[in-house]
Amino acid sequence: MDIFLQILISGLSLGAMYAVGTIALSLLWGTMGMMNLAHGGFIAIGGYLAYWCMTVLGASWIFVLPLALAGGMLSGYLMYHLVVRWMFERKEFGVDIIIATVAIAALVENGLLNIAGPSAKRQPFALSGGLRIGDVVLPYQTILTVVIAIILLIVVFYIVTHTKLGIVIRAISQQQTASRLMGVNTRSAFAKAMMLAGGIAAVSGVLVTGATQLFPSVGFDTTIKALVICIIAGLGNLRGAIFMAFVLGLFEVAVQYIFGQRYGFPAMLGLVIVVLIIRPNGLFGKATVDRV
Amino acid sequence: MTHAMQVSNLTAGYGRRQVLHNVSLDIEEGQVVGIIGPNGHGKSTLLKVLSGLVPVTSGQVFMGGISMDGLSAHGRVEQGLVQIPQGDLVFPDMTVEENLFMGGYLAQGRSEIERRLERVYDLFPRLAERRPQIARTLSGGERRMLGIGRGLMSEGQVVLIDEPSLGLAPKVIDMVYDVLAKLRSVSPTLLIVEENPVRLQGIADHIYLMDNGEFVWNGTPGELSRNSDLIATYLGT
Repeated sequence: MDIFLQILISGLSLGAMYAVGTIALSLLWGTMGMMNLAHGGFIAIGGYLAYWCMTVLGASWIFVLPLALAGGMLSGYLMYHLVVRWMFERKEFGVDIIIATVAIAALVENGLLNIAGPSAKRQPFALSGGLRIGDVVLPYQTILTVVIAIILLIVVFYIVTHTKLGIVIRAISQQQTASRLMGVNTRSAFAKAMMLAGGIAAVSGVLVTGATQLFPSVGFDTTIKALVICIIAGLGNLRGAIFMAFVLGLFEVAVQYIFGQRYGFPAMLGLVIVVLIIRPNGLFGKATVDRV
Repeated sequence: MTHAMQVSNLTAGYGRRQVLHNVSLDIEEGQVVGIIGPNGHGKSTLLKVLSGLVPVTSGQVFMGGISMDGLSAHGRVEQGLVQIPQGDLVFPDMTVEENLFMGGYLAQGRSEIERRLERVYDLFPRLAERRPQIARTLSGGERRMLGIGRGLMSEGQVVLIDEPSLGLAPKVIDMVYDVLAKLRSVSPTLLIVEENPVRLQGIADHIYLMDNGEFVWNGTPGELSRNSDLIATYLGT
């Protein structure tokens, strides 16, 4: 029973972290048909901003998440205006943007390597200790991660379902041509979507590095996992992506407990191959994004 | 009468393939103008060029005397130029009401949107009954009504409609054309593209015939019906 509870707690907290990373990827794919492999760069930027905020500036932990959010949004805005908007209307955008975002990820990683050095650091925005429930210990860091992740998910869902930006994002993801004919300025909507995705990714970077460690390539693993989850759920499907993030978080932890630590990620990748063979559009997949 | 829209010597296409050659067109305010012609000869491309989806190679488009040169698709909607696209380009995973709301995207204020919604529901009572329904689950005819209703939500001064009867049952086509006829009385200037002239003849003031990306004839519906050779040559009916 304790083992079951432990798996459940670890799995849900891992799932919450995956869910936050995944919605950022899913949002950009859904609205823009853009595979953002620079997602890991945003994660690292968030992690390092949090670290510098507390160690270099000596600021209170209260400022960490707003700063990471602002830094991530600014990165998303710059990436749209410096790179994405110049490629977007081309036919080959889908492939070009994958290469461009890999290049951006490498640039961010190298930049951080030069500024902060290669050594892994401890993220100061983290809690130690834990809550004991019977024989199971629930670490405070886990509680913090899950709470922040759930708040972020609620905020993103509120934006997507209840605001004008949200209805525009949904409209573009379903019918881009019709959206333009309704008077939607798609460029401005894309810039906002990228700011939103950048902000979410950077905040998730604070959470991820709090649970592990901080180093320049820290976002790589999370990006791959978020990508796997997006593909299994069906690219661009937000609800499906969040659901699958929790399912796969639990699946990974269960495999780790039963078969050993090193089998978790390979098992997840095995699952994605099976899903892609059986359901090429993912479990809740929708067909491709409309582009003119 | 003032000009609602003027198109002069328009040439346009996709990349190196030019589809439209030197097309000129005049629409007076409040007029209903029809464009007919065989499929694949540039009618829909012309509408896409006018609404800013396809770039102009040469020539000019004016609306109410203002040049549309360099204006994006959304900039043209702001100027009151609205296109109701061909087929079912509704937002499939949104409700009927959300689709209509997107049509009135540029409207200011909740009360203005409500007023426009009521107007569209008056024209299409069926849409009012289907308010909360997801667009994907509507019938083909209902989706077309939604597409037209959504376009009317923007209350543009010039409305371009691409093949409103395409793929619909005769009964539904009657309903769509009844609504278009009603629109005449409330104002907008309409430019309607159809492959078949029969329905258009009852509503249009002036008809242009397009073949191979050029206007080969234009005149009134009466002149067209007296000219059966023309219809037989270009439309094969």
